[in-house]
Amino acid sequence: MMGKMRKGEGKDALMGYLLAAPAVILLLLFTVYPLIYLVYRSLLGGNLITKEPPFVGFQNYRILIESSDFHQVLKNTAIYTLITVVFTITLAVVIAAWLNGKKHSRLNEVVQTFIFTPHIISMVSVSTLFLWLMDSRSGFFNAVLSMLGLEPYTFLASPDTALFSMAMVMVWKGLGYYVLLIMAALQNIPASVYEAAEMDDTPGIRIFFKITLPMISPTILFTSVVATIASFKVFDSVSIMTGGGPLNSTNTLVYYIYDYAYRYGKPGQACAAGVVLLIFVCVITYVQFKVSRKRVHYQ
Amino acid sequence: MKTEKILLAAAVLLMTGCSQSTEPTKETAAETSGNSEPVKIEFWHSMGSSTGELIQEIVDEFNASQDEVQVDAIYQGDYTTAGTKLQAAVSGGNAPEVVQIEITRVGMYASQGLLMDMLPYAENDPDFDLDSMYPGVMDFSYYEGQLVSLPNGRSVPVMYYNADALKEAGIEEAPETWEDLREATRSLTTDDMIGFGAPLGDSWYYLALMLTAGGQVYNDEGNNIGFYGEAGTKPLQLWLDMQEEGSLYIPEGEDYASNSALRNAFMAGKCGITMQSSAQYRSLADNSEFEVGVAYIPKDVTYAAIPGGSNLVAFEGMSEEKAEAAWKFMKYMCSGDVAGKYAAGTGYLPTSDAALNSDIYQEMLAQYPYLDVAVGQLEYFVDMPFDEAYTEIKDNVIGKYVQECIIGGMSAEDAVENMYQEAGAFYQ
Repeated sequence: MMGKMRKGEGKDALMGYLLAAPAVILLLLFTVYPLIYLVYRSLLGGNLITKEPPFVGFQNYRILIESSDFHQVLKNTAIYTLITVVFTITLAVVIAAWLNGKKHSRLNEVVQTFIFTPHIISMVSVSTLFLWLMDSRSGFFNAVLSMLGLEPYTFLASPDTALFSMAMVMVWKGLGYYVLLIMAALQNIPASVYEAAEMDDTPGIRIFFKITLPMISPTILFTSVVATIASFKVFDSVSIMTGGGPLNSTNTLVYYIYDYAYRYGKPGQACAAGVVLLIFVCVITYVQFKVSRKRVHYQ
Repeated sequence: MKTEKILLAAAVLLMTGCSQSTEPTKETAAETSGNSEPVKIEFWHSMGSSTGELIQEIVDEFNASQDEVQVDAIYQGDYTTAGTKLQAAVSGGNAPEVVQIEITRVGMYASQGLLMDMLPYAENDPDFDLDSMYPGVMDFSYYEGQLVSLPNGRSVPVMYYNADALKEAGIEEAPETWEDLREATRSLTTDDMIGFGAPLGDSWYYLALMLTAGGQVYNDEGNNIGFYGEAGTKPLQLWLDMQEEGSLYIPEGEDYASNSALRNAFMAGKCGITMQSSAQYRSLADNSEFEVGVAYIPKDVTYAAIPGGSNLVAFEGMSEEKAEAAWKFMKYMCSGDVAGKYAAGTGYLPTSDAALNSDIYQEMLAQYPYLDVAVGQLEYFVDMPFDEAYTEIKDNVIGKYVQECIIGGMSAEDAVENMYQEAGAFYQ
């Protein structure tokens, strides 16, 4: 009896390893190995075509620490992330709550469709479109502004407004996706909770803050983590719309990495910046989960 | 039973995976099968739109003219993008046979010994005369005694002006000096047009003006910029002065995107005078509704021209057969009629007397009288060393502080001081 069971267990275990093997192998090959290589390459000099890049220790990191451009890049990335995440999540919650209140109206469907469409368009097309819309001289937005008798806005032309304009494009594109996720969460809230609140004559605003928000807080946490990481990794819109300019004001971490790896031929420095990105993303994700563990309500 | 099946499937997958890589590819099979099939080589270039079509036409003509070599021309994006792809390809061991490479990037590949030395071919080929090429355009061709690249689409920055608008403003002659330029931009500026379009995104043009103010790209020791002082600040001051009186048009975007934005503005009549590569002449002239004039970059104290454009290189390590084919193709590209055709269709410089005197170039010159203006600048070409740090210094130091000055409000003196400090750090 016992022997037979053990034999069965062994077979099951083998089966388990076999089934897990493809995923594990892929993970090792395409995630773990590149990660280790990234750290290793960040300690080497040379360019992409150097046959035997010399070992330079932490010199690439030292250059990053001393470079005012890199400081600016970090600051840009942080500000960009903050703006996109705050705007996206706040707007998404408000719009989702509003749409949820009109569950069966025709308007609901129309708005949902329109708001979700940008998500499926490629970022390259979106960037090209907004490049034209936001042109400070002949763009559509400024044409509208001047028709309304308002001052034209500089959008991407001025270092003061370019980063914010870029962030707005990201918000516009991502909003629909997050609205969809949050609406799904809203619809999962049991009706009985609301009925109870109604019986007590709870005002709407109080219901929103005391019932709706806590009930969807796991989804808000998830979406904000996803949105944070997505905006940390912004690349295509920077590459197409501004190339990091004017005056480095829209240069972000991933674009910086690309610039140094390929344009300036310094993969060591690019990898060092990649390690910095890795650390930031890890820390932010960890903190978000840690801090919100107390504040998030899981059913 | 199930486990066995899965194991079997895995084994089959592994085996097929392996066997694929050992199977000879079609290409190598064709190579070994004899001389009946033409040798196929890849040619990467960076020319889009109408210039790209011209390149394709030239390659097609080459393929049709003989049956030994078949060239496959592939567009890889502008110089920056193509440079990226080439580095990735070379580091992966998949370098194409022939590449059109932006001249300041030639050194990077040459210093690693990656480029084929064409000198033996050039010297032993009776159809090819190395001495017929203009010395000016051979500046990026030799690396430590090896012939590593041949001139192809070589250009200089020139001044383009809206000749109709200039005439309307009562100016008959194209501006020759900075003072003329200031006067012209002032009188061209109206409600609809801004006098001067500043190519801020690409510091090549700043350097072009700096040279005419008496500076050099590198200092004599070759370890810093050669325009620390007046030569560096004067072009910035020129643009600042224009900006103050509202005659400076600043395009949006960076790098090559800002150049194309500027050309669009010029063709739309939004700015009256600008600086662009000589290679843009045909495109600007054909797409503008006014007469497009071309002149030297106006001088402050001297005429000077900063070299630009691209050369052809072949990569080391290909089979004898392919190297031979690559040479044949490059020789064809440099021949008088072909180089003449390329120059005539674009505004790139003819690279030899044979090209300049080719029928097609002379015919085009009759229609486009400004086509050969840039040729005169050949004698003012300044020397540029092979320098791996150039791209980064040009964009990230010089370009950055030009923008800091014109857009960011930094004084011209501080901007050049910063350039000097930061560029110096590269050579320590």
